[in-house]
Amino acid sequence: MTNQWNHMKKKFAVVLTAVVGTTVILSGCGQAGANESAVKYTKGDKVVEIKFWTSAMEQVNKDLVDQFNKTKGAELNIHVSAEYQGDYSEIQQKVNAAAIANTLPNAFIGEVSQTKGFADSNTIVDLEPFMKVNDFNRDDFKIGDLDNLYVDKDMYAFPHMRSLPVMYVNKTLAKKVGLNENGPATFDELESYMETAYKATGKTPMYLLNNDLWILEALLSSYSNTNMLNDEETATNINSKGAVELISFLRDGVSKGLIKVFNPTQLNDFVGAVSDPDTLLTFSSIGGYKIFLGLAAKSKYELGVAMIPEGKGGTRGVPVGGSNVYMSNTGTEEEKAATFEFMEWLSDTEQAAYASANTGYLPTRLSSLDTDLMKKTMAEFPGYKVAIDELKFSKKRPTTGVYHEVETLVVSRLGDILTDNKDVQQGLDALAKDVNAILTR
Amino acid sequence: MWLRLPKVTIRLLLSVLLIIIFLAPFYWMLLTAFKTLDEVVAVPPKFWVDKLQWVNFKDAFTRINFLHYTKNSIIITLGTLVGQMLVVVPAAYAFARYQFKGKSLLFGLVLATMMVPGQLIFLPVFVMFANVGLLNTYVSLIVPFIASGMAIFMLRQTFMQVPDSILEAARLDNSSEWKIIRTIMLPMAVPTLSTLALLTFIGTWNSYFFPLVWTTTDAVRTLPLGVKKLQDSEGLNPHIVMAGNMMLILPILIVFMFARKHIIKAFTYSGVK
Amino acid sequence: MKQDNNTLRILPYVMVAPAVLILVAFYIYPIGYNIYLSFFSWNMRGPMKFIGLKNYKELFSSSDFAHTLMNTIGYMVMEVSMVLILGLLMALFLQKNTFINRFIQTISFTPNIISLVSVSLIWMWLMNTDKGLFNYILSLFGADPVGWLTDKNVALFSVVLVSVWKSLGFNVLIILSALGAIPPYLYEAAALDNASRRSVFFQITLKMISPTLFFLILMNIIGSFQAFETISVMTNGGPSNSTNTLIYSIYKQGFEYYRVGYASAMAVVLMLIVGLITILYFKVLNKRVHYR
Repeated sequence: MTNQWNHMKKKFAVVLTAVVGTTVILSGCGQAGANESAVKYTKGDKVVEIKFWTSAMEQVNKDLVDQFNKTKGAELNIHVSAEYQGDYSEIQQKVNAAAIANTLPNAFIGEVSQTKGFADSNTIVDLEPFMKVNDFNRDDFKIGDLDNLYVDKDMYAFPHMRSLPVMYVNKTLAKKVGLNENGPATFDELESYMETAYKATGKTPMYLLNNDLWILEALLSSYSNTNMLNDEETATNINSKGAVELISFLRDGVSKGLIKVFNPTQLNDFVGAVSDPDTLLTFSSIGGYKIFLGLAAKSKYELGVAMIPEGKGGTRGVPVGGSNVYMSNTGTEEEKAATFEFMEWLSDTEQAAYASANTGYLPTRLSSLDTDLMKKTMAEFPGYKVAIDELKFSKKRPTTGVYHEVETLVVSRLGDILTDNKDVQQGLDALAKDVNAILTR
Repeated sequence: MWLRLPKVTIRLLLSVLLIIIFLAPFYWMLLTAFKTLDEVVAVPPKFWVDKLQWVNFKDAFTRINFLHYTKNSIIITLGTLVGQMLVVVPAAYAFARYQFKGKSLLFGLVLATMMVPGQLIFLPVFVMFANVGLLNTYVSLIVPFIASGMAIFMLRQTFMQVPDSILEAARLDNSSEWKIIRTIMLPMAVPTLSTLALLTFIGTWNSYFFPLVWTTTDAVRTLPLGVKKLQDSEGLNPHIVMAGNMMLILPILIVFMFARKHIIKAFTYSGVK
Repeated sequence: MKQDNNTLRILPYVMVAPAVLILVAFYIYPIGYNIYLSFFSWNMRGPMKFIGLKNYKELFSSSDFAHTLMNTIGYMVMEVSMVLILGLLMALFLQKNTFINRFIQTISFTPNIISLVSVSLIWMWLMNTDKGLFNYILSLFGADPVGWLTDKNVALFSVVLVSVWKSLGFNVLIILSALGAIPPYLYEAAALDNASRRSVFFQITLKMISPTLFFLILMNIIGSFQAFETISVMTNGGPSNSTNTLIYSIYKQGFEYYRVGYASAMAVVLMLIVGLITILYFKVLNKRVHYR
């Protein structure tokens, strides 16, 4: 059998060389570039079917789509079907896969920092031509930094559910251990604040969910006025003096048992921590306000919302996160026109208010604040006001198309740095080198 | 005498240990699948259940689209089985009984593919499927697997053992080649064919990697992926995940129960080929 | 008669054509295409950009790739040594054809025919840090809970353990059939020579089954390079990349970041490793054949 094999091996080598030598050059799939023109929707006899992929807040999005189908959709013969696709990173994955397999929906929801990546790969279309033929007025989109809607100078997305990082405070516990119910205002206060609670309960007072860099971006900006990436997005500041100070501060808290950082797979543990009446502080998105309120009510404590503490010299900075709605580079002119009608409706004053009031996300239009629904909601839930005040310090998130890769890398490494006993500066230097390699390749 | 007794005891203890090592995980799955959530998280854990929770199976069935995945699994498994017979039998016959130019080169090529770990080249094949619009089709999950090098090799060995005299006699009777295959070759190759069919059935039914990497939607994804999805969404409910898992394992276990000896022989053969 | 001859001349090609075409299309051609892709920067959508050896340069300067390579080698060494040592011991233990031995052999083989996804799910539940059976048993002995799949120092071992549990029965089966094929007269001759048990084992048993063991080493090495299910189901390559192996990394780079060229370069490296090991195997095999 060995001899037979030897013989075969030679034959195989000949075949392989031939194949490699004459590798056929397959043409890359040629997709149409971003379309330059757009038409205005005109109602026809046939119902135009629109596929819409949603992410985060499954139910609220579904409710909104149902409302559309009953009102404007019925009027214009447009029918939207919503399909929930999971969290932001899952939908990014699925949209990319769909772009390759040619199964893109007509529109979808994605995280704000993904805009440029989708635009660069021709997955989404420039909305400027559509806004022009529809006389769309964008001036009302004014809550927080809007840079993540644009690629170069063109608008590629409508804001959907926008959010800011905030600090959730367990007021009941704070009162019990003699602390200010409004939470610590500065990072200096934060330390003694946590220590007091720790002495009283013996349990970890503060939780961070290390699932994306968004919270860390806010901490970096607030603690030491540092951005994750430089302005040109060609290098990271993760090993700068300010970043080293922040990470050292966090690690110090971790080693003292004051802070606990969960890794991305521990979402359930995070929810468990929030439900624990002995948890004092949680840094998370205002978009989860209603969910946090529910957990607090179940565990019988009063939940407050505070801004992320300010750093030395009063520095503050919070990246605007949450989601955008994108129009996919797919379908007929008529479908695209109908999709724009739907996107226009979805981003309108009433709908923006509805989305906000039912979640905790911020309304994306100034005019939404004047609706009865928003007025009533803000009076009832003081957290909204805190987040809207915090908007003064809002910043854009990084835009580079490889940021998802950067996030995965940094999250995984930081998990080590925060728990290892190695030198912080060295760890962050090594990390920065790898991040820069991603940014500049 | 006293030296012999401990040896027997040690043997017995080791046997029991081995039985526990290989059966306990299955028992734990079975037990969990029939527990309530309270029983699942109870400390200390319960090693028995008072009331079988059949509802877990119903839950597992409805939380993911179980029927959809099962249908895909059946289509792809059957498709691969049938396709393999159609493609492998003539090829093995030709390699066994004919002399033709380039035969050794072509057969060498077939054998060479046995040395290519298929999992390493999933990416270029994905790109090929994407380029011709075959992503998310049954074809993409069936066709690459119907021409197995090992199957051709095994079947060729069997065909070569058929005495020439029988063939000559049939040819003198003016039987067509297809008739010879059908009436003489196939009946003689039944043991090899059923060995191949068993290996293919087990391999295809259990396959997770290719249905995962060569699809982008749930359209043609198979049961192992469905059960993995169940884990993703019901990770906090191990009783439901284990119930779903049992439904994935059951068909294989049933086949194993009826064809235990045959399956073991098939694997031995594939291992020492 | 003449027509018959013509048919007979074409017929073999017709019969082998489907099989050969499929094998070339899905096994041989993709190897070449993979090498081709590794010289490009491409995300499957935009234009392909030829970048020469840049992917390889990046690969060999990346600390993540080095980490992944170490994980892959660690996985292989642990898996192959555990499967073979335990497999050999178990086969020797089960050599006698008794009812209980046949029973143990059957149940140890069962995991092998079940999907690795199922096996992974079962073990994931057993290895759960808070509610898993393993940590409960440990707690009975007063031991601290182990983060089987969440501790970066343990996770790779845990994943290997699952794979060993699954494939042990198959290896035992093959070793047993090799043991059974040793001609009895060798043992009889040794008994006449009053050879020690030790020398019988090393001179006869081990020597006679060494080709089988050798074959199993190759099979297990190549298999270990393709380990995907356990990692995909149980750890996703984490925690802290500690279970990220080459094949999983190729999948991640390809389908999460759509770095087709980079992932292809990684696949080329892995193919070279597998190819080298296979060639080495045949080289050593040839030598042994010559000396005999």
